[in-house]
Amino acid sequence: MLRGRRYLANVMAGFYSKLHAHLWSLPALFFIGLFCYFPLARVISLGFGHHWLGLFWNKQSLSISWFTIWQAALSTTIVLALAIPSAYVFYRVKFAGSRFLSAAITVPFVLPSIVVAIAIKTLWSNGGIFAVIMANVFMNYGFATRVIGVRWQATDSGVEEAAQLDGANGWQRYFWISARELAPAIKNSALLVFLYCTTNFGLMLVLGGGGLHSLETSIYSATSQILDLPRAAIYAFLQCLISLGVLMVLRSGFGQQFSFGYQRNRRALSLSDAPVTIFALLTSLLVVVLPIASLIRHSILAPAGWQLWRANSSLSFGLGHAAMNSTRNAGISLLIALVIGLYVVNSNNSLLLGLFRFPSGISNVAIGLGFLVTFSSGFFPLRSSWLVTPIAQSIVLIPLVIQIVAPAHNSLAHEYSDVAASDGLDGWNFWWWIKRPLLRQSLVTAIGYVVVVSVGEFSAANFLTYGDQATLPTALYQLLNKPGVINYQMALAASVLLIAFTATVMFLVEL
Amino acid sequence: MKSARIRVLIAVTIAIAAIAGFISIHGSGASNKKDVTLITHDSFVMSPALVKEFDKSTGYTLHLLTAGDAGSMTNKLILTRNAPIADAVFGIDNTLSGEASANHLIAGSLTPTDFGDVCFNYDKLWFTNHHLTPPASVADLTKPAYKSLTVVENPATSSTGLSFLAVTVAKFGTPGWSNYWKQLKTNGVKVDDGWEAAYYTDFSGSSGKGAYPIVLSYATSPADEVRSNGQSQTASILDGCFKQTEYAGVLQGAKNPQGARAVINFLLSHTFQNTFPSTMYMYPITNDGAVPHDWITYAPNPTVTYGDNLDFNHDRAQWLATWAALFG
Repeated sequence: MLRGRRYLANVMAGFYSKLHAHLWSLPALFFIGLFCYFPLARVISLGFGHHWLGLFWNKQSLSISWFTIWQAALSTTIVLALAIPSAYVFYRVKFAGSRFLSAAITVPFVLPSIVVAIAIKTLWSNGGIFAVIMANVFMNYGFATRVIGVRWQATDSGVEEAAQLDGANGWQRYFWISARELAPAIKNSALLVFLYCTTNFGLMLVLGGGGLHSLETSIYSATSQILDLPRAAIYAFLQCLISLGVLMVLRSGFGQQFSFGYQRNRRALSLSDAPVTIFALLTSLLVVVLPIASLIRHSILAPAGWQLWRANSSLSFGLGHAAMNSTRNAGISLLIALVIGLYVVNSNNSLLLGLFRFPSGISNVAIGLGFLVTFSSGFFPLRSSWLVTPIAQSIVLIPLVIQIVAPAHNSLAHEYSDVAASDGLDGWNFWWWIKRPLLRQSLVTAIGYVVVVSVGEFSAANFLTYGDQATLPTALYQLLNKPGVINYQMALAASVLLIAFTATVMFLVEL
Repeated sequence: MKSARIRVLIAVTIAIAAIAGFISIHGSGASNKKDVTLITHDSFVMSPALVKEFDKSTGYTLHLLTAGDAGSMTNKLILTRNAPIADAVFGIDNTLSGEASANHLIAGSLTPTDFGDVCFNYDKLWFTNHHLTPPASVADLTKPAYKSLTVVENPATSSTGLSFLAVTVAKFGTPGWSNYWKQLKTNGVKVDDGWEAAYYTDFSGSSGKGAYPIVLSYATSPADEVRSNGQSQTASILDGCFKQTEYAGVLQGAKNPQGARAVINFLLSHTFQNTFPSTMYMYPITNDGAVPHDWITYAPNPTVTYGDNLDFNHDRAQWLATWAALFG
């Protein structure tokens, strides 16, 4: 009895000290709870009305889920087949321009999905499944190449030299020798690419041409076309199941994909590497350069589209207005994502880290729908405010900041915390004077990624922006859907500018 | 290790953001009382000169907001009804009016502004060039001779599309209408989201010079396709049309209901009513609105209309679900 009471007292004491430690996390917990888990719970509860089983287990839901999965699986397979040899070439072989190229091929990964769709559409004007898969490959090829390549760089180069002795086809032998070390990177990149291909809303919406339906486009059409919210909610639930499944398998290795390549461990181009180098260069030419070149060519052939400042009667507001909205939203979401993301990283609290990382796998469409059904009325009518879009976007940007900054931060933490403690620096000074300069590079990267991803975000914005609150991607989507050659030409020109913007930011960050 | 200052900084930032959020949510009502926003479907046309005339005569500043085809526009209004994105609405038609009133979208009642007949058009030139007899009724569209020639609008997003769905329900009954759509699908029908894309992009007989010589449009559209030889390039299939009436209304919860009322009065004014035929190919609702002489020659009234007695509000969801199962 007494022992029991003492045990209880110990537990309570532990609880209070934990509570105290968590007290400062409350604003962050409140934020993620209110803006992520609460809306998601609202959406899912909406789906589980009295007809839920019928909605869940019918031919339509099953075939949409199946389509979402197989198009992603097929795209992932193609991406891996192209990315593994490319990783070798761009990250282990040194040749003129290799560093520039390895940075250039990752640009598509952060391009606005709507811009990617427009670029692919200039190659396949009718869209269809091939166009969707091509777009998936375009966006994810450079990303997978980087994840695998960075890992490859970290492998022992002694092995490489042993393989080199064998002459021709060296890279394949080398691949099999280092396969054990590469396996986690290949697995992680495969899972992430698969996840990104199941959440390719903008690509599927534009390139599917109304004939192809993934879970995300079905959430959207169930909401905006037939206004069947329970159906939309069931699709969102199925989408969350896929994300959860992938995240469970993924578990570790999150965040490695943005770590910086050490530029050591590269060797000079040798004759035996010629075939694989040619393969990688051709691949990047076909996968990355061709769609962008085609977009630029089409936009140059249609000079009228460059008069972007002109008022457009189809939009009821100018593209300049949309650009202002996008800039404002990016500023707000950057502020939120940096403050909360850095706080979570610094807290090193596994509960917070877990809660904030989870949304990175969740479909933005589901989050958009969640905001729409939760904040349209009632206690917190956020939907009518322009803040709704940047706040919804920050839910997926916070995990991005965490993913980029956490690896660098954690490697610092062990090395310097003892020094700081012995020098008597308090937390804030320690952070500002010691950590911040050392984290500078990863902070710059985080800011660059957040701005670019926020400006290009389409899935959530498409649910939440109405009328004059349109962002650049939603305005481009509206332009695509209006008849008239001039609208299409304007969309082309604006897309070229967005690619230039994204590429500039990425190169500033990376080179 | 305590990092008190960073925590204070975060707390302050979140507090500021929360206050800013609340101000922007609850303070947005304080926008200029002279501003009035009219939300319309994509096919609405109001020239800048008419907007200026409205502003001058009423003292309000009119903002136009297009929101997709009539079906998507109505859904948007329902989703945002607690904080309306406009003051007045134009373009809710008799297929959607029940939906609008069931969701209490409109303060007061809907006011009819114009009407017209939804009919198929065909490209006469194309049929002459291909030595093919044009279809005479919507029932012909499933015939193999007309394979891959027809483009229609999605009934879920477009009011013209929904009008035609109603025609098939009324003409072929249940379950005959879904069999008809199955046959249309086998016969290669193309489905676009809105009238604009179907008519101006995919139809061969319009300025878009598309690939489809049969399009779901209006009985009056051929009057707009008169070529230099004095003949219209297109004609309507007069068996299988739908009589469509469009309405305007003041939105429930509008920030500027007086301004909205003024907009609707302007839409009913002689000046505006006269523009319906030439810009939107619809008949003015008021008797004194002028109807172009061309229409008598090129746009004969339909011989058989269907579906105006259906209960759209009751059955629409079921029709759309059945249709979506076929085309989803």
